[in-house]
Amino acid sequence: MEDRRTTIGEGTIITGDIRGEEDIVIFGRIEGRIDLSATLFIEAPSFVKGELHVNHAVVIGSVIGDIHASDCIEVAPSGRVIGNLFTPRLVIADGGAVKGNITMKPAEGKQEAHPAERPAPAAFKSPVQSQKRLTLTTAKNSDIVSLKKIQLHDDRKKFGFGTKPESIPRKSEFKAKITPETVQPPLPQETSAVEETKIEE
Amino acid sequence: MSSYIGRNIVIEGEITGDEELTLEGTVRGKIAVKAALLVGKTGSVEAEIEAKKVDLYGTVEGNLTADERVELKQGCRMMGNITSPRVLISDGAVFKGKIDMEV
Repeated sequence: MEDRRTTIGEGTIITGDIRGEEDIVIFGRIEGRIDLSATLFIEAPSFVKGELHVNHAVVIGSVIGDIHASDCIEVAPSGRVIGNLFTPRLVIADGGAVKGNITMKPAEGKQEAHPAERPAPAAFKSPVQSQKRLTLTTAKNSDIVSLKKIQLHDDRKKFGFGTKPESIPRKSEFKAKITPETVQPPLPQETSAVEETKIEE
Repeated sequence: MSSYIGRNIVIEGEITGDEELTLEGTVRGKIAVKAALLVGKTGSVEAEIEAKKVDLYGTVEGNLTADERVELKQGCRMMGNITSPRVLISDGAVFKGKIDMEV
């Protein structure tokens, strides 16, 4: 017998659970749970209603129900999903529609970072870094005000006026906020761009 | 378009359709197709079957109703009743049940 892929034809309706270890291509209608340790292709005229637990799902038709994939979910331009997606990798093509929660966790047992992620710097400390970034972005206005004060301070010094050390923030303090010891390259540019526009006012 | 169920697939439920169905896997439940049904050597069916035409190479436990004909090939096992106007049983087929050819 020829080696054929399991296919559920267009005029076939299956009401019940499907379990398997090989790829399935669905053109028909399935109502029930699918447990597949392989790839599931849900083609264009197809309609699947139920929970899917697969390795890899390619949705070209319609699915109502949660999809749990251990490898990847792909939603094609004609794909429609009403349900939650649980997968480490996800591709939604332009035109594809998804309504539901998306949870992307790395597959259990795999600790490597996804290739698209930026490699973390050596001094990276996750909660501290994100806090620092947060401080910088939310405190932009106060930074700008401090910068203005420091410029004023410098001007005053230039013209020989007296200065009140307490009211003017220390330059070293301000510098610490934007010194890129653990902050990544784009951030200093960000602040300088904002500085320029604010000072113009 | 025809349907093909591979040998590593287990379906528990009802299959209905109007196109050819080839079963090499396991089905438990009910099968109602309006076309030819082929149960391959590795196919195992524990279900009531309704089809137009049945070619059996594998195992069936359940009653079988066909509109046209039923063929039990060599090496097959059929445990159940057959209702069909035409029945062909090959040498080597194992069959236990009733046959009713008055449809």
